[in-house]
Amino acid sequence: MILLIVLVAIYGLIVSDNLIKKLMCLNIIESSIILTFLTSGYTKDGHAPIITENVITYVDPIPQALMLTAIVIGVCFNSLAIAVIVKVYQKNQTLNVTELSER
Amino acid sequence: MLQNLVNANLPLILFPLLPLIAVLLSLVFKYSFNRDITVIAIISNSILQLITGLILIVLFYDFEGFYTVFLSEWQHSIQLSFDSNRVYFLGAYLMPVLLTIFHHHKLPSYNIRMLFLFFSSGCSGLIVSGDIFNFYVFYEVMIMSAYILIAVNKSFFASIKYMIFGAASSAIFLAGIILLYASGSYFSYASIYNNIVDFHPTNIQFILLFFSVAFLIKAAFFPVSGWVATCHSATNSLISSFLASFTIFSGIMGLFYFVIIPAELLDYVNMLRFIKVLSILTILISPIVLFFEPNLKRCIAGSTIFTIGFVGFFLASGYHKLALTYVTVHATYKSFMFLVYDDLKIKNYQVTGKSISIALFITTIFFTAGLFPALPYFLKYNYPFNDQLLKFLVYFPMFIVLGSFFKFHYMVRKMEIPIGYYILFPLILMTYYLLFPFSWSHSGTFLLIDAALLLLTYYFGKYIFNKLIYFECLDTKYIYVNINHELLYIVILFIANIVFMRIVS
Repeated sequence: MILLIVLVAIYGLIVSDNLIKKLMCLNIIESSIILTFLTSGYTKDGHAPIITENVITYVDPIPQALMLTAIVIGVCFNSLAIAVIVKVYQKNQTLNVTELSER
Repeated sequence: MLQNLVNANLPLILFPLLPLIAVLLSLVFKYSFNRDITVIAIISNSILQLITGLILIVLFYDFEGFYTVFLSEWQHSIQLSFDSNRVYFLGAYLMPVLLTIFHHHKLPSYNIRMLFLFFSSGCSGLIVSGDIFNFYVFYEVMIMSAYILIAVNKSFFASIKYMIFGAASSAIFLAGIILLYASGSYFSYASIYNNIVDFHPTNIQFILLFFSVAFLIKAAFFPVSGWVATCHSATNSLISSFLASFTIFSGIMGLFYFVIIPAELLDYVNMLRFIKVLSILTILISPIVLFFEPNLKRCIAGSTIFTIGFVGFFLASGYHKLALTYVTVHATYKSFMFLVYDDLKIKNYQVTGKSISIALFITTIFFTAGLFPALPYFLKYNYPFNDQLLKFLVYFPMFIVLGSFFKFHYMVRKMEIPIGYYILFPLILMTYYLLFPFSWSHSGTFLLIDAALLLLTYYFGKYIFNKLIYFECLDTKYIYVNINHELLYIVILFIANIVFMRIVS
C-alpha cells in the first residue's frame, strides 16, 4: 500500500507543472518513508519504550527517535519551501515550472 | 610528534562545535547588548577551524582504520569519527574557509552572516560524522542553509530547484537508511563495514541501489546534473565557492563511504562498473553543456561536473587516493576561480579586468580543463588506462572545456586579437609539452596529440565559435528542458541501475 502511494507521488512529482503540487508530492514520499521506518519498529503487544515494572515487551525506540529528527527536518524544509514558493510567485506571477524555466 | 602531544578527541569534538559557539555568542551579543559581532565571529571561527582542521590533517594523514568518539555510553549514541580518507574532504572544506577570512565582506548583512555560520556547522558536522544518520542530519543542516543563502540573493527559482533535487535525493537516502536498519541495525561507518558481509544479498543490493541513486543526484552525475550551473551560480561568489568546492563533493563523500567501499568489500563489480559508465558519460557530456553556456559564472559552476566525472571514475576504478587528491586540488582552484570572477568584467563575451586577475583566471582554467602543466593533468596521468579509446575519450573533453572558457575571450562578434598573443601562448605551451621530462616518460604520442589539439583549439577557436549557431542541435539545453525532465532522469537512473546490475551480471 505504501509502495503504491509512493509511486503515485513520484508520478505526480514528474508530471505536475505546479510547484505547490510538486512540494505536496515530495511530502507524500517523505511521509511514506517515515511511516515505513516507524512500522519496522513495531512489536506486537509492545509498550511505549519507557522502562516500567511488569512490562517485558517494548516497541523499538530507535526508529521513533530517528524519525522524529526526520520529521523536524521535513517541517523545516516545508516551511522554507513554501516561503520561497511565495517569493517565486511574487516575482514571476506564476508557479508553472515550464514557464519559470524559460525565463 | 604531534600525535603524542595532542589527543584527537578534542579537535574532533571542537571542529563541528566552533560555528555553533559562534552562532550562540552572536545571538547573545545581539539580543543582550544590541551589538553585531557576526563579522568577528566569522573571522574567529574561520581561523579556529583552520587550526583544528590542520591538527586533524596532521593527526590522521596516515592513520589506519576509523577513529571513533562516542558522546555517551549508549551504543546508539552520537558518534564522531575520522579516517585518513576524510583528510581530503576536510582539505576541500578548509580552502574556501581560508578565503572567507579575506572575503567576509561578501556576506553583507547580519542574517546572511548567521546563515553562513549555520552552513559552516553543517559542513563541519558532515566531515566528522560518525554514523550514517548523523551524515543525513548534518547534510540537511548544510543544504537548508544553502537554500536560503541562494534565495536571499533574489534567485528564488534556483533555490526551489535546488530544494526539489535536494529533497528527492534525501528521501531516497532515507529509504536506504531504513533498509540498512532493517538488515542489521548498524549505523556507524565501522560497524557497517564489519558486518556488511552478513547482510542478506537482496537487502544489500537494494541498499546500494538507494544509496547510489541518492548520491549520484547529490554529486550531480549525468543525467541529473542540470541543476548545478543554475543553483551554484545563483548566490554570491563566496558561497558559490563553498558549494562548488565542498557541498557537491559531500555527495561524492557519501558515494565513496556508502556505495563504493561496501561494493568493493562485497565484490559487487557491476555497481562499480555502473558508476564508471556514468562517470565517463559525465566527463563527455558536461563540456558540451559548458560550450554553449553564455554566462561565465554558470560556466565556472558547471565545470565542477567535469571534475565530478573524473573523481567518480577514479574512485570506481579503485584509485581512491588519486580521486580524493583531485577533490582537494579542485577545491583550491575552484575557490580562486569564483573569487577572481568578481574582479572580471564581461561584455559581449569579452573578458576584461586587472592583468593579475586575468592571469590568475587563465591559470585556474588550465586547472579546470586538466591541461598540462596543471596538477590535475598529472593526477590523470597516474591512472593506468588499459584501453586507448577510453583514454582518448577521457582526455579529449578537456579541450572542449578549454574552448568553452576561451569563447569568452575570442568573441563571437568581429574583433581582432593581437598576433603577438597568438604566438606567445602556444610557444609557452609547446615548450612545456616538449621539454618536460615527466610527461615524455608516460606517453609521447598522447602528448603530441594533446599539443596538437591545444594548438587547433587556440588557432581555429575563433572560427568555430563564430559558427556556434550551426552546432546548436548539440546544445544540451534540449536534454534539460525543465525540472520535470530532470526529475524523470532520476527514475531513469533507478531503472538503468537495476537493469545494469541484472543484465551485466
